[in-house]
Amino acid sequence: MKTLIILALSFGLVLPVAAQTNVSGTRSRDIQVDAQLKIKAAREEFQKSIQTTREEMQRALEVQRDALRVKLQGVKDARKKAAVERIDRNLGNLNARMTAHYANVLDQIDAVLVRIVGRTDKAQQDGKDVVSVRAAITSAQGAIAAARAAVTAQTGKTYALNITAEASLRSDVGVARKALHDDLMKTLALVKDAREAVRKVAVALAQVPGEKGSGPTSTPTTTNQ
Amino acid sequence: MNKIYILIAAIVIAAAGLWFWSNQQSQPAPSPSGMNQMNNGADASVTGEIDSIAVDDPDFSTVDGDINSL
Repeated sequence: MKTLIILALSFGLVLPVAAQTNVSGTRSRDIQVDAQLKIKAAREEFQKSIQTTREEMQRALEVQRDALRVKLQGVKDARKKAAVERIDRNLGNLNARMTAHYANVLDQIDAVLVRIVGRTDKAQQDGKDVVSVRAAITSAQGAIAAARAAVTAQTGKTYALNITAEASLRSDVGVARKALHDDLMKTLALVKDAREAVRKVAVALAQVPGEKGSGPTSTPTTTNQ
Repeated sequence: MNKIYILIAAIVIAAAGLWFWSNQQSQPAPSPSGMNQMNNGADASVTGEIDSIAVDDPDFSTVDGDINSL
C-alpha cells in the first residue's frame, strides 16, 4: 500500500512537469497557425476587394469615355481628337498597371513578414525576448493594411478629362494627368512605408540576442527596378 | 524498498528525457557558416529579399508625349 502511494505521488509530481512543455509548445503552434490563417485571409480579402473595385471602375470608365466622345465632337482637329482619346485610355491603363503592381508588391512584402513572424514565434518559444520585434510586427501590419486600403481606393479612381475648348486641350488634359500623378505618388509612398516597416521588423529580429537569422529560406523575387 | 527508489528514479529520468527531447524539437536548426551574415544589425538574407522588392515609379512618358503634341 505504501509502495502504491509513493508511486502515485511520484507520477503526480513528475508527469505534469513533463507534459507542460508539450502543452505550451502546442499552444504556441496553434497561435502561429492562427496568425498565419489571419494573414492569409487578409490577403484574400484584399485581392477580392481589388477585383470588385476594378470591375466597378471599368463600368465607370465606359460611361466616362462616352461622355468624352460627346465633348470631343466640338474639336475639329482629328489628330488632336485622337491624341486626347489616347491620353484618356493611357491614363486609365497606367492607373490599372500601377495599382496592380503595388498590390503585387504588398503581397510580396506580406509574404516576407509572414516568415519573419514565424521566426519570431520560434525565438519566443526558445525563451528569447521578442517584445521589440512584436511591436515592429504590429507596426508593419498596420502599414501594410494602410497601403492596401490606399491601393484599393486608387484602383477605383477614374480621371475624367474635362474638355472646355479646343484651344485649351493641353491644360484641360494636364489637370487629369496631374491628379493621377499626385494620387499615384501618395499610394507609392504608403507602399514604400510598408516595405520599410517590414525591413525594420527584420532588423529588430536580428538584434534579438542569440537570433542570428537561421530561419526561413528566402524565396528569390524577380523584380524590375 | 530499494525497488521503489529505482522505480522513482526511472520515472524521473524518463520525464527529464521527455523534457529534453521536447526542448530539442523547438531549437532552431544550426545556420550554415558563411550564410545569413549580419548587415547593419539585420539578417542580410531577409533584408536583401525585402530590398529586392522593387516599388516602381509611375511612367508618364507616353502620356506626356501625347500631351505635348496637343
